[in-house]
Amino acid sequence: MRIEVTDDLVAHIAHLSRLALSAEQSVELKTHFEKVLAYVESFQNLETAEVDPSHSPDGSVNVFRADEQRPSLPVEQGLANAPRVRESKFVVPRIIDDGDDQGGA
Amino acid sequence: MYQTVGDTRDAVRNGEITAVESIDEALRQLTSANSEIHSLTEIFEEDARRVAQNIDGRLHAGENLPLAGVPFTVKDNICTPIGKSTAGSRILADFHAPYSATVVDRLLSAGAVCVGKTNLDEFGMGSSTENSAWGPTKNPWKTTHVPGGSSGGAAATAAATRGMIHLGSDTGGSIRQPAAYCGVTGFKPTYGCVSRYGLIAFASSLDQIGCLQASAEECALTLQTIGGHDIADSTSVDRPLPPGLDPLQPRAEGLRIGVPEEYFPEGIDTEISASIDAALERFKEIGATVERVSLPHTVYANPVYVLISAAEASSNLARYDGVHYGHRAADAEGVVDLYSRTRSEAFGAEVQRRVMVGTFVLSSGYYDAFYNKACKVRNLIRRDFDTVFQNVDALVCPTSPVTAFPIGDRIDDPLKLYAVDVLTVPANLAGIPGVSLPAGFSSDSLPIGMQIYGRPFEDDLVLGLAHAFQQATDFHVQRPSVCHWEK
Repeated sequence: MRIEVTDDLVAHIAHLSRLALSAEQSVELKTHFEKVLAYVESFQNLETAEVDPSHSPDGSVNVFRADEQRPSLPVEQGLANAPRVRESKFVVPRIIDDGDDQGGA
Repeated sequence: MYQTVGDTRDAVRNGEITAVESIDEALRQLTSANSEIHSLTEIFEEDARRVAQNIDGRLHAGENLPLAGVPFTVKDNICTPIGKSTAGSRILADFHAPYSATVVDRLLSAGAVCVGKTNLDEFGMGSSTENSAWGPTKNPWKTTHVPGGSSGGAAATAAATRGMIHLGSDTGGSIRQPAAYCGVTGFKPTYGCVSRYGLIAFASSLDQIGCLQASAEECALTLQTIGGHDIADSTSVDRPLPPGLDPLQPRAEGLRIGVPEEYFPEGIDTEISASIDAALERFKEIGATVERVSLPHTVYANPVYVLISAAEASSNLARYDGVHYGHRAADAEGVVDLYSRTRSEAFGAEVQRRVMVGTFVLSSGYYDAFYNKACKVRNLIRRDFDTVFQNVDALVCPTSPVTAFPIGDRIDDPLKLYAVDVLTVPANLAGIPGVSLPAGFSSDSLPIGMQIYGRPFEDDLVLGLAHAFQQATDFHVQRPSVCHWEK
């Protein structure tokens, strides 16, 4: 698959990645993308129609355990590293009236 | 001063020294080493002495603690109950883990004492430990050179000290490649053999906790304590550890060793291939047979790794949002602005590159062509190992195509830096155990590393073969000149 790395593509991926790139970073990342895509081109034409994808080294899918109650992290400990806390809750900026991006990542 | 982990353990258990004396000696070595090579992010002087006093009291009361007073360091992407767990990132600069990793808990339960945290490439992303937010670590053999990475802090510390356990993590060679560059023995167990609970995730289908030690014997002793099933990690496998780890049995007689031709790529340092050739002769002398084998899809391993690891990293690192823990950008306008500015301010350049590449290959329109294709080729790489292990018991090859390189030499060219992982990433893609051990020195006195790969869950065979080699050679007991504490 031949991809043309455009400024718009870099900006789109940066948005999906939730990264605020500087102009200089965008230029650097555009070049990096081109190099990585050239690097991975080697396996693009390999015949794999009959091969299943391997998502884990041991081929495991789901692991089940008994549905038993176990202690969880106390609220105070869970909040201890939070940058902003109010009334035992995480504080986030207002998420309504936030244009097209409401809901966040 | 005791030379090995086993000696330290026995000296404390036999009452020759106290746990406090053992820890004081470790702190002396660590402080001296760190001042020259910057291999630690924290040293726990007060906490370690306090814990050691408690261990001495428990021993006095007759408690059986198999690793009483044995000092251990922890790579800073593994959560510890004391100190910070930063993963080498400014986004976790002040993060104090609310729980500790299973591997850490198991060492503490055995009476071992946590003495410090070791430096790393941010979130384990790098091969030189130059990508740490806390500055680079230097190679103890030549302080103008990198120690490898990402467990470069652990490797450099292991080379410059003695008688301690050093925990690391390996996603694409992050234990084995720095072990090779620093002249120590670095062991990546079979995927699922050691719990990753409490390891700050980089790429979950590849990450594995292991250790960096002075010998294969020490690696086996460590695995004996940290390995085994853990209900807190659903990828940890519910089967007993292999027998014969402590004491480790040497294995060479009658074993069939395969030498994969693809692991001697064009451009490999000729001194490295010569050292591996000499090591193969040594294996024959101690009773193994050696034959050439082929793993035809090896050439695709590194490109596949670059895509899969980036994809998983982009997903794992989505949790750093400036809300739950870690850095938070000031005065953000709305939630997306908060996320984006937080992450751009606090992630390093390499982490941002990988998150971008990973997001791209998982995004709509590109998933099948890149991510899914890479996962299919991963399967072909796995099958290569399955096939070859029907005919041989272990594979022997170089750990890296080059020895340690000068600091700054590759950092501005990410693809050039990725290339040093080409011989280590296949083990992570296939989940097989691998150990890197010293096999010689270059003409400029830098260590040369050799890898041994084995079948899944035959970690005892891999370590046993390394042990047999170390019984027949003395590369692993050589010391860098930075060990001033010996005087």
